[in-house]
Amino acid sequence: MKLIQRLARVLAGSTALVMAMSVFGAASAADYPCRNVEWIVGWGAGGGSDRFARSIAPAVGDALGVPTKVINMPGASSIVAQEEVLKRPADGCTLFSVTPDQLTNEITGLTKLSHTGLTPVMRAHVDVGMLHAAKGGKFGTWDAVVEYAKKNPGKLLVGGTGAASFDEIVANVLFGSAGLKYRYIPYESSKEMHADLLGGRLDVIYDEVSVMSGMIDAGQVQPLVVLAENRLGRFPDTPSAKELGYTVPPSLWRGAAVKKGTPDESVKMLEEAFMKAADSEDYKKFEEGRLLNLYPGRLGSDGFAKLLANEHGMYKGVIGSLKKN
Amino acid sequence: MRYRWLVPVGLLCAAVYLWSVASTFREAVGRYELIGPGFFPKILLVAIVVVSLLALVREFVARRRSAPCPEKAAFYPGDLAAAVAITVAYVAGLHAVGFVLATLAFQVLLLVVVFRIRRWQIVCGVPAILTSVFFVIFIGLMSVPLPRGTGVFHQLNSLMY
Amino acid sequence: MIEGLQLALSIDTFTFIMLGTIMGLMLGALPGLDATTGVALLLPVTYVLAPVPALLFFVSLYAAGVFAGSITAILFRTPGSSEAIMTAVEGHHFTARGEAGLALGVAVVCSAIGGLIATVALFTITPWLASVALQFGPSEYFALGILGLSCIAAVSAADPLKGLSAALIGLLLSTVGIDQITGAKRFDFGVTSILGGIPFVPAMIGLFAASEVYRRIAQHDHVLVSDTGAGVDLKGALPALATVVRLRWTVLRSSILGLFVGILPGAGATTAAILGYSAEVRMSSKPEEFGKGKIEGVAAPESANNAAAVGAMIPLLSLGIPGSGTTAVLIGAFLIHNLQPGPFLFIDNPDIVYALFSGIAITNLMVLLCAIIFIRLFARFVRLPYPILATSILSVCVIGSLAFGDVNSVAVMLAFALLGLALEAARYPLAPVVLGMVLGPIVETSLRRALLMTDFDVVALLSRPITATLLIVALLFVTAPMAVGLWRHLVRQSS
Repeated sequence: MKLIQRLARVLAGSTALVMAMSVFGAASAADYPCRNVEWIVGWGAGGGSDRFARSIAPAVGDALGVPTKVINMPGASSIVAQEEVLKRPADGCTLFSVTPDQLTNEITGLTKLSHTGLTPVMRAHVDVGMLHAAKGGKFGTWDAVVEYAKKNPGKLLVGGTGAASFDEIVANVLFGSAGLKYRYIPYESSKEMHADLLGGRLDVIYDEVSVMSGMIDAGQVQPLVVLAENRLGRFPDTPSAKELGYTVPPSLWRGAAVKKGTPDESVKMLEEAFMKAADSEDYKKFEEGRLLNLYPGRLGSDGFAKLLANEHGMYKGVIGSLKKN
Repeated sequence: MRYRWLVPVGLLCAAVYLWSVASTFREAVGRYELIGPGFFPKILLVAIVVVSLLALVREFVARRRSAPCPEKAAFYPGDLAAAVAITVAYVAGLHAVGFVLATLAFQVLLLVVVFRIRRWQIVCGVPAILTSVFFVIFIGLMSVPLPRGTGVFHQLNSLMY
Repeated sequence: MIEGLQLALSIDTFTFIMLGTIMGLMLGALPGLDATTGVALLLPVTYVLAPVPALLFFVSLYAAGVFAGSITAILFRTPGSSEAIMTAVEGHHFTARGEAGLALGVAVVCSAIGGLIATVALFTITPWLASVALQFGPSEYFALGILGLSCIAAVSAADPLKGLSAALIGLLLSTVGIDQITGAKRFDFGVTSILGGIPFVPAMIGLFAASEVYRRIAQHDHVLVSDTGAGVDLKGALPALATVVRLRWTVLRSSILGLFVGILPGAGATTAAILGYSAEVRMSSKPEEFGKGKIEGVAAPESANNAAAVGAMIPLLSLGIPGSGTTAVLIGAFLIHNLQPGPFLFIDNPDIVYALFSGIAITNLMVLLCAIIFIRLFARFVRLPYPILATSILSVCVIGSLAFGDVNSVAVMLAFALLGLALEAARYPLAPVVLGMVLGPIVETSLRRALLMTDFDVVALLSRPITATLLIVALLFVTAPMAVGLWRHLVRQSS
């Protein structure tokens, strides 16, 4: 009994303390209706999404007038994080990192959660994808790949990360429209895939520019096709998918969203803050360093929502066709 | 141990059940049927069945030879059940009232119920110190997203971290 | 090279190595916090530093983190990081016997030696090792995994049948989650937290730390350190040194093995520790003594995991491909300072490369130094009354699991605690479970990927030189003890 009394006293004391803290907190808050904003990243520290969030979050916080903190909650292709975001109130105090994985998770049935449960805030950039071969290996140019694949249907080994993933969709769209038969080899992480490419066990891999630029500059890897409408100024000799007459596959992008049902004013304020943050020196330096500014990618809330709906339909068609293979 | 056949039998039952689960795996992409998602798990399940049967046969033979029973260690199932139950309650409590309160309650209960400690200095002091140390390291330094609970508790905890 | 050494020996570099070591020891000792997260969180802070101190800060943080997990593993059977898992299997017996000082001493010295041996390799044969790393494809990984699994019988010498069952449980657990090859959900039972595979650290702290607390509660065994020794003190340090000298071949073997596993992008320091341990048991003339507190069982994984941690730098520096999760994050540290890890680094910035190498050597000595102070700190906890200690350990188990996801990963921890309790009560060894869980994905995914890539050409797959060699060694590992047994039997009969 004594114990319970004591416990109650401790509880009462700490509650009072917390209340007192909240008064101070409320007094110092700006007009954004949160004491602080938490940005939940569904991937581990150090990955692409994490680096993006950490590079833009301080500027977003400055623009909003409340501190914005990045939190990692890795697991199950960021589904664990998505569940956490949806568990929290729709008050605009919790941000969520969005990548094409949200769409593929939903389409392949990994989760019942839909992208429609989120309200997009902004798409920040596009990480242009390319097909690469090992330098000094079997293929120096894309034409050589086409020739080989036509002579040996189904023998071309194409590496990418994940099964029924964004990478596999990209490979399917490109090789499908080129009329080439290939074999997709899924990898869990890109480091093993890179070793297999350099070791001569893979013919071609799909990966983004931000990851590959170092290996290209070092002369280990030869870019074959840019998966975009136009060539990139950085790699002027590499043809684009469009000029070769292929369907341009979707591009990898990164953005942020909040839970659906967040008040419109909050979404608007967030969108403005993100747009402002995307122009900040620090973030621009980050984009430049990782070659994320090679292709225009910035979209506001409405544009991002439309893009999600479009790409959802497209991915669904491609993944449906993969099942029957 | 009188129940030496328990683990093999448990493994056998689990293997049979998991085989039925493994037969329902749906692949998101069709590749080679032969090395589909159920390929490796099914090999393992067959191996488990074989090994468990071998173990059972061995137990049977050993029993007929009436193997000597090893000495029995002290065993207090009540305390074990209490400790596990308190941990389960802790997990549920994390959902409901958030990290700080649940951790305090968990530590107090463990000390009082399982270890039968009655000195109030320990019962109050140890949880207070431990919880604040964890709070500082995990939330303060490393910003690990520890649960905040639901409803009123969520709001209360949001004020702290 | 001289210039690089001077860079590494400057006062501020030294200060940052020290800082990194201390932080690494703290992060590594607590489950739920690891060096990778530490590196990623502190990346932005290093904008202002010069490249060499910044990089060495992270390298020392990583190296210290890999070691620190074994302090808590030995004292409380709570592996602070996944790399220390085999140390928890073997090392905690020393604490129970009152010889924790010896185990800790051996662990520190072997870690430092493993790291130093790998650093020597870094200085001398980096290009060759990098080319070896590129030779490793799916079929080679598969063979490596099989080689590890071939040691199961040795690891559970007391009862191979039970060992095999335990290993199969571990292998089956490793198949939980999204299938890497087809994207199918497997054995997830609707739980999101295990969709990406069973979270390893929660599972391990459940299996070892929490189950041990529950066992002691169930048996009213509230004495952590038995009376045979004076608990933990550093009187163990001198005998430890002597022991390491006695174990020189074990340490050398394990370090080289760890180095080779470390340079592979598809296997990390945890796998190195497990393979180092298994190989040591297999080579030993008394495999039945392992799992009950044999000092070789501490020395081998500790040498191997630190050698692997340093070895992981090799593909990063020479190919631009990270050899482990933490080195992947380290790329960020290079990029911040406009350095691109890869073959050009050696040509463009040789001073930085050699400064880094020298710094890694210093780091390993620094770990040795700081760890001794750290061990004293932790040794105090051992003298706490067990109820308080148990409360702390169980809380750390829960919070450490929370850090790896959500409340459901605590449920995973609890489930593994009960599994560990049941298996130990029925006298099943736990080491094979770990072996299965770590090697399972390597064996399964690599085999399936290799079959995909060769279009089911099994002959082409098995005739690759490294694959064939590893598989033959695995076969010898399994058959040699039987052959020796048969030979002895025949000799005895004929005489």
